Amino acid sequence: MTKQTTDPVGKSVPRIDAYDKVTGAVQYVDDLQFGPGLYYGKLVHSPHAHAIIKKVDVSKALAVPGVKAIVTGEDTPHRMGLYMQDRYIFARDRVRYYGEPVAGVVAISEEIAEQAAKLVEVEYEVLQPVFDPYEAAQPDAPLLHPDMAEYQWPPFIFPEPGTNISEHFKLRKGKVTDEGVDPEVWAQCAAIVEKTFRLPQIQHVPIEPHVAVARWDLSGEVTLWSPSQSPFAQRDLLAQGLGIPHGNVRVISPYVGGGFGGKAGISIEANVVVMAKAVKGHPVKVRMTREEEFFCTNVRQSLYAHTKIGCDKDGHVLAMETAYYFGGGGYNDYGVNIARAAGYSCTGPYSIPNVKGDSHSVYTNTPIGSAMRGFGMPEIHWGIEQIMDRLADEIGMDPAEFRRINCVKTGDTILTGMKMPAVDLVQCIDKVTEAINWGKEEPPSAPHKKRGKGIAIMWKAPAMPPNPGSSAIVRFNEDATVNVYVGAQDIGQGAFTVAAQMAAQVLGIPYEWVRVSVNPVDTKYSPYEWQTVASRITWSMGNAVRAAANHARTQILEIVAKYWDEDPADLDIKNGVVISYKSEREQPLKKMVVYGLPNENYEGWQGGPIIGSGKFMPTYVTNLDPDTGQGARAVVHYTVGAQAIDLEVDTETGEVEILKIASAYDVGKAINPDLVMTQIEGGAVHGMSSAFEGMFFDENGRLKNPSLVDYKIATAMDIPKEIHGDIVETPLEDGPWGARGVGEHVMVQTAPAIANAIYNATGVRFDDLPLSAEKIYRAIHAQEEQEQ
Amino acid sequence: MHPFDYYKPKDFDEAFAMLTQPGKKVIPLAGSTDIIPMVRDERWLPDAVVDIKGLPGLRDIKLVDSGPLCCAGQTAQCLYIGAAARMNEIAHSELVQQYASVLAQAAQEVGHEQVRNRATLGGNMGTASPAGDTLSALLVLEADVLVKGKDEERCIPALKFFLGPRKTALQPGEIILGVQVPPLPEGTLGRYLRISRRKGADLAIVGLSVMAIPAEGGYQWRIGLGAVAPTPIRVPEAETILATGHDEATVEKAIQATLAAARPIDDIRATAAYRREMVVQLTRRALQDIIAQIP
Repeated sequence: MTKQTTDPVGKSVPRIDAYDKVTGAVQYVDDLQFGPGLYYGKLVHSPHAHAIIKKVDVSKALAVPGVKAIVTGEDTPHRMGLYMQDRYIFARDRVRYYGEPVAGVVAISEEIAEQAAKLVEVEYEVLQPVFDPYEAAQPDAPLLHPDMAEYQWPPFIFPEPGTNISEHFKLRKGKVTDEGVDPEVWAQCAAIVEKTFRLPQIQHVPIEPHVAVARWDLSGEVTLWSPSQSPFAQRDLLAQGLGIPHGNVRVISPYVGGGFGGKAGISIEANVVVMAKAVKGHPVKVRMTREEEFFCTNVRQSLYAHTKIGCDKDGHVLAMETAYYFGGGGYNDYGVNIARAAGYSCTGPYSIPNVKGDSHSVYTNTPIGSAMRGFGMPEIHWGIEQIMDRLADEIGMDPAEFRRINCVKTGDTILTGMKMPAVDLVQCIDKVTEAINWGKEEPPSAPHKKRGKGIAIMWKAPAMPPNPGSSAIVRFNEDATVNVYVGAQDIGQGAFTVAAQMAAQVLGIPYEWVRVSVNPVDTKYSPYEWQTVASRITWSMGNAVRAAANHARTQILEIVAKYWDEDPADLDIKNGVVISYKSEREQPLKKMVVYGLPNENYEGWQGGPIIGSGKFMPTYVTNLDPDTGQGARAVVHYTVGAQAIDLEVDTETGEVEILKIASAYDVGKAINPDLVMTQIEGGAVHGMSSAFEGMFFDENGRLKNPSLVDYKIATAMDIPKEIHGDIVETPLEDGPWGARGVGEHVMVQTAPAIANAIYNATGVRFDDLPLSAEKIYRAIHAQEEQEQ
Repeated sequence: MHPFDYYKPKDFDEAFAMLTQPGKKVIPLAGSTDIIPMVRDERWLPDAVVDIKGLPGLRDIKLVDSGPLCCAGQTAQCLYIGAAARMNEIAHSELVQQYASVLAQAAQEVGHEQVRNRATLGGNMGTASPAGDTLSALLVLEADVLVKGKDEERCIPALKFFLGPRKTALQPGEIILGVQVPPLPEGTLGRYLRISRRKGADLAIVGLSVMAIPAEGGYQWRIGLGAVAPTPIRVPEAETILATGHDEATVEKAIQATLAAARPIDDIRATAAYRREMVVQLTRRALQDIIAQIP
């Protein structure tokens, strides 16, 4: 403890978990030892995208020596779900995607379980599948959930039973009816662009595939070990889905080997708990293979977007009509809220006076579409940000200037009627355009290459229920070191590090004195946290940590003030010592934070072990009108940002080389600037991957590329030659030290920024993702032929 | 994953006893970077694998005298590369860079760093994927493949080794000992180029090996293609054209001849049409690159 970092907020202190991670000391779920009683499980997957289950016969599989139990839909009669309670833990009656778990085999080894899983005989009656979200939303589409009317959902979700539409969010602003924006408004437009955009499903590809261990004790206590972004939400869903008290469910979550939203909510964990129930007293471990990770856990939803935007001759955007159809997969549990978020943010980061937006999530016979970094925003920005570029082009305005004119600004009445909280998107645009020499034509590196620059901007609000809460505890040790307890998870973003920085800042102790007691996060001992999602942790957990530290600080100052017979208002804590600005006396925290302080002449003592607790929950989010999406406060806040890209296209091969990505985000306050930069770097690479890859299915709904051989994410050799980042700091009113989240935002607009730069280089545009060298090559050459 | 027995013999007698167990499907294993994925996908279901990495001499990279089988009749020494030599060992070997530069370049393109630390030349050949990076290089080098069975050794020219997708001239029970590359005259130029979806950790959409060998009054050219036919192929038509010279018009003719030889298919990595276009682009680039080096 030689280095002493005082006042650590705003400083780039090293990650609190760095040493353990780089030395391999960190244990992930698959590293944990469970002794000789451990059993292993394998899931039996549906070989059809859409079918009725006629019969399940497990007798042959059960006869395999070493098999201990097999569970099926018979064992899971209750529907479960975070928002839309639309699925059984194991399929009953019907399967809705290729890979859906139909049964779970428990055995004494993984090999035996795998062997026996092949012997489970399931008789299916194959039904017609539907994969495209727009087709699935049509009245004559095969119906995936005929019983939808019986399902339960929260009051802010609007499904349409009798169709495949699980959520329909309506946004109406200005001169608009259900038919569309007033024709008179369109008549004022000097330019109108109307386009259809399509994006495929993509996968998170965490280094650590999903894994879970569950034990159902004979006493009725259930313990689940899972790398989870949502230990408390998992506890809640399990308790509800299994009909047992919350206090009987314990979720233990060590470090997460990559989340990106894929480990939010619940996936295979519920299956494993049900399998453990069949062999009470024995822990049961299930590990997803990389292939299963693709088709049997969560993926990002596909999107069909039809969007029309118009502006006047001076570049003012006047009107927008947009319809989004998210392909939510077989179950839309989490996905309904993605469509909702895409609905109330459907304009992207623009102030548009007349808006008609309809955002749907739609059941499709594909893997479960769920949370992924960006939560609907990367999907809708793909189209919006290209249309804005086209409009600027049509009226002859610089695309960056077009965005400066139209982007949301502090105090604007945005599409839902909410006043835009303080942000500075114009400054973000200025920073990134400066960083890539915007407007300056620069030569390509070879004659067969073309160079281009593109820009895209974004916004995103935390998408969540109105009232998700955080809590925190700080506990002093004898030497004035502190243990901070949070229920948030570190998924690489550095949550534990900023928790320590914030606690140290408030308590007036060096950063190095703080330990974060989170490995594992344990619902039995950790304070409540809704979920580590929505880029809400620095803000929400941060507020709870600050409150807990303040609670402890107040106790300490009161004790010392009484000891000195002074006013607590004159006291402060600096570098681990309580000081008085009035009397200039000093009292080290050491010892007194546990043992207290004596009264005069040792006639009794006061104080005692200091423990501070704190909580935070937004209290101001209001309902939105179901017919118009209007309300006083749709969301807690928005984070905004800009990206500009400089790239080269090889016209002979279609290959794209990204020379530079410049990003600028308004984070309110960078609690740890290095961690913001690592988000910016990771986001740029993740955004690249999302532009160049997708999941592809055959006509039966079987995934054609369920492995890293043919699902290609960007490698270290593909990443941009230079990643530049700028941090803009417009404080958020209720953020700790003004901070707001930035974890997801850093990849939201990367794909359209790349597309805009490719257009700038080659004059070719793309409406559908993914891009590929082949697609770009073909488009360039088709254009050349046309010109000839 | 399908279970199988693993053997690691120390000598050839032991190895062949294990490889020829009656009624059992036994396959030789080297780097295992192909075998493990194939068994996971249940495309190969061996009863046993025999790890050849411990057999004597199989990891050698050295110069050898012409032998009775391989490299027969050569007056200078040949380059010998053992079947279990790793891709990174081949790519970084000064001997390979000097005697078979095109092969060193191809080995450097295989997979990624971790794969290259395990994957072997013999494995790449035994798997015989049409997209195998090193295979078109072996064709243009006109390497000999030294194989050994229980009772005898024999030499198969690389040009006759690859029979179809994942099919080779190896007989059951035979293993690859290594390859021998005949000596090439000083001034030989070689280039391996490929196109893939990502720069790292990917398979070739098209792979191309080109060599220019100083010959009387000019150059003798060799062109090999990967990933555009059921096996890696040579393009004698283009080579013949280039033998007459390498001015721009002749080069274009050779490119068209190379294109005519390609018979690619559509798959998830690329369409046949794009592969054809890339054959043209890569051939032009490789030829121009080599021509620029010709003194």
